Amino acid sequence: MASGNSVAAAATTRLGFDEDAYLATYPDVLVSIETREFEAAQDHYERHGRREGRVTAEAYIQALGLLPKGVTAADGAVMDLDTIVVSEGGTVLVVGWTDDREAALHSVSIFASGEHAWHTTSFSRVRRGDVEGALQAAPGHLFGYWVVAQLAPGLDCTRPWSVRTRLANGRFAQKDLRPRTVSDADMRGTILGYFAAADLYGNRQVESVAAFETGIGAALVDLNRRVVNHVTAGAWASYYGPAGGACIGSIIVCLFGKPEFLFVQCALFSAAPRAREYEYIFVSNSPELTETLVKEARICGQIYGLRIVLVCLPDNAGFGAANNAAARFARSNRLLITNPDVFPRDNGWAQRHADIVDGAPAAQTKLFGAPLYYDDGSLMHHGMYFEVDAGISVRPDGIATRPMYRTEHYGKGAPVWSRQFICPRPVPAITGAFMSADRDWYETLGGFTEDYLFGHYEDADLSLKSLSRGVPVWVQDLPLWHMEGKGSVRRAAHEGGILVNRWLFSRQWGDFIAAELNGPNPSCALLALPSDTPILQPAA
Amino acid sequence: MSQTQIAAAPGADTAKLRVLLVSLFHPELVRGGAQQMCYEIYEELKQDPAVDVTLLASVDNTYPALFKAGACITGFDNHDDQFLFLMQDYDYWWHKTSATRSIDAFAEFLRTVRPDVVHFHHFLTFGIDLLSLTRAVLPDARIVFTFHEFMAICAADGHMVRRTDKSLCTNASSVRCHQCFPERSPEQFLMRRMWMQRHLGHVDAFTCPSRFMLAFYERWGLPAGKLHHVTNGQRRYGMPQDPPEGAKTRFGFFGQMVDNKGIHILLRAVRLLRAQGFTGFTVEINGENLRYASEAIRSEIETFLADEAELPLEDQIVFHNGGYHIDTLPARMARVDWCIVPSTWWEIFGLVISEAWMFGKPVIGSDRGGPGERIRHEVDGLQFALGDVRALADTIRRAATEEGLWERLRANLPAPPSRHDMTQQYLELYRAQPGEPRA
Repeated sequence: MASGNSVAAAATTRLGFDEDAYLATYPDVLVSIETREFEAAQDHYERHGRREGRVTAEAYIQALGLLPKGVTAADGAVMDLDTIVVSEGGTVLVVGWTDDREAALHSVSIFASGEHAWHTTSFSRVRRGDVEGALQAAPGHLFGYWVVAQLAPGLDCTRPWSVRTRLANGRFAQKDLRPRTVSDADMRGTILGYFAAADLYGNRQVESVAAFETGIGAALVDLNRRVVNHVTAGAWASYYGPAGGACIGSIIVCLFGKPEFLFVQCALFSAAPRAREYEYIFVSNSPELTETLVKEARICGQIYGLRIVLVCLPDNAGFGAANNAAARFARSNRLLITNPDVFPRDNGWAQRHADIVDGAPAAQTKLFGAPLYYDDGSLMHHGMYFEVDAGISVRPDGIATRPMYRTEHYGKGAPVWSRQFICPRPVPAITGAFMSADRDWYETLGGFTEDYLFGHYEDADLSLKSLSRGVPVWVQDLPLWHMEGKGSVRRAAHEGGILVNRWLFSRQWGDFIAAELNGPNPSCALLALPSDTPILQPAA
Repeated sequence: MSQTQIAAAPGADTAKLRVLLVSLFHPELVRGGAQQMCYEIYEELKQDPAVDVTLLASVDNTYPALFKAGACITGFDNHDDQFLFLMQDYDYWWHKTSATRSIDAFAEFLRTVRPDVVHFHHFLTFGIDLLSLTRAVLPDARIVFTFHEFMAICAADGHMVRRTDKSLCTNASSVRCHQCFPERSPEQFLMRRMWMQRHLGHVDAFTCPSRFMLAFYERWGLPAGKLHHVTNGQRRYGMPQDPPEGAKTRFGFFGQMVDNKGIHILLRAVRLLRAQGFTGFTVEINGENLRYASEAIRSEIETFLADEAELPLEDQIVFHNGGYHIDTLPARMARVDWCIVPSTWWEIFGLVISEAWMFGKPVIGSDRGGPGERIRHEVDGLQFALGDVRALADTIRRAATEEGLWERLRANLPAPPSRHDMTQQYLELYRAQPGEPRA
């Protein structure tokens, strides 16, 4: 399914041949041409210059206009290089530090095996306590830097690469290090894990947005797209239980890390009359669970008589992409996106869902959610709204502010009898823990946007895609349990992914939210409750 | 078994009631109350010409030699109607197997035996979801389930003893269970409850050997109309023994030497009485499996018994006789006047109480659970406050010294529940129509 968002590529420049800069930097080449030793500057570059590494010379890079004007000097800059990690798709992560207290870090150049070169100003800074200690520097300065850039696939990683950092005063230093190679998926985890653990001054949320704005965020989204496309292309499906026949809905459950939810959900959903009129599609983002899930799906098909489709992915595609992949295997025109930790509160769910789809106005069922309840019986979710906070980050060098968008749940923690929260109504967004979607509408919206990393914000994004096309999401009367946060495992990389997603979501929807959707009572006219909708009062 | 073997067993009489008993373990392989009771029913039904009975008993890896290669169900020791279910890939949290072949084999076994009634004695080692499988394979069969403790309700081995303070628990809830298992969230206990109840929902009739259990399961959410009290019955393998002359100062403990059987309470009571200078009594310990006790309790018991053995014979009060079997029970019972059941948990039924009555021995027992329900205080036995060492010590002293007490209690001892009566009650349940209340 197509990606919905477009994120600008990172500001990284490949250093190649430029005739003017080449001749300006190397007058000997001009002489050679005049003496007809070479026909043109490019002839020289192809025959000698590339091998001699002339495009990596600081003077040449300056001639390209990529450096600050003034002198360049290969001494006086102090730096070190911690790691270079390169993925099979050509994404590179460089981590190092430089002492730029006198003049700020200006740019970083990466020379791959002396033949290919890139120059970037897309780097972010982190605190390095170890460097502070080594330099006996007082806290307050960010010595660390890290670069995420998209280079080219298939680079030679058997020989050391060089990384040159340069300061705004023209001084530079260079270090060599042999890169470590990983898969694209591992690179995604490495970068996010690194960022999740990075030490920053100020507010982490605000500072992460600043980091992603340098181009790192765009590079991560590009990398993620590549991973997701590769992973979903490798989907493998197997079928269990009764075959054939029409079904009125396709329950899609994305599993990650916890196989037991497959059989618990099958057991609990199957108890309802008409439960067998639905199909149950489990999509796994945990390849290590494949054998276990195959066994469990087979057992469940036999015990519960459910039609089960198990879609196994070769790696973690993330919530949105996995659900999109699973949707392609659905036989019905109704998709019920369901978290593994969601269960029916009673055995009437199948009939009630069918009644809603058949009986409610079509506009109210194109995409709808359900009241979700905590295990303690109180309400967990009855739709979501957005809040805009003024994110404040107090840095050593000043105070930065940035609008920060967050989602909140209507009625969270409300008593079960508080019926004012649970009458059907349109809301700004619904949680991905349970979404019932008309398949055509889902596909019209492009399904879940696959730019989001792992999980978080895809549900709000899908809701807003619908709303922005004139169809608000609704919450209908279909009570379900939600063991929030218990259905999957969370790893360090996921924390980094949430930060990226928040940045991405804010870029995409920040203006819309600020204009029409801010707060629990948004001004958006589409969200006004139809006048004939009864407002139920709390039970006496 | 082959995949095609789905017809009724050769020679099966379709006019008979076909009963499949599903037993946690086989009593010849692993001792225990649940399997003993199941086997009692099996033996009684064998004598009923109107019934065809089959026993399927589980076995775990304590008998690896019985695990024939590639098999999930096998025969047992050349008994035509006894089979072993070879437990594999068992998940002790969800109580299910992940072995697809075991599932296939169980389903095929059901199709082969085609029972009218499937009577489960526990789900442990089989999996609670086999109830749902049974209903899927045999939509019209009557499913009866006997609870032998509270494992469906309580993840703490079904004992309903709080792991926080060892107190008896009367009400499982997500938060209370989380307190016993801090590493598991409250949500997991709601899921566990829904999972258990989902499968138990296929059962037509539940039975409990003690009445107090019914309230637990009803409060937990099972329909009261499906809950029945069927007391555990046994064949008679002993008769009241002639009492010795004089004071009745010989006390006996019969059972597993694990924490919740309360043997440490008994030993502490002995220590207390000895410290008080009262030594005119003996205690015979008949039991084994001390290795399954907690480290602290095991150490306490071992130290006590070792110290006791160091004393001159004439000063010894406690004697450890080791484990016993039914065949040796008459001799062991002949050496005591009283039986003590000092259990520190609910002690669901207390088969040893029935055995004591069988041999004409009044019982001194805890005042809760099965002993509390079955022993009539001051009528046919004596109760003491559960876990109360001083109360037990006082009771022992009184029992050993009060003239005429033993004789009075013995005269009122009830007959132990019989196997025949128990089986007749089960047959009523087997033959009841769905939704029909028990006569």
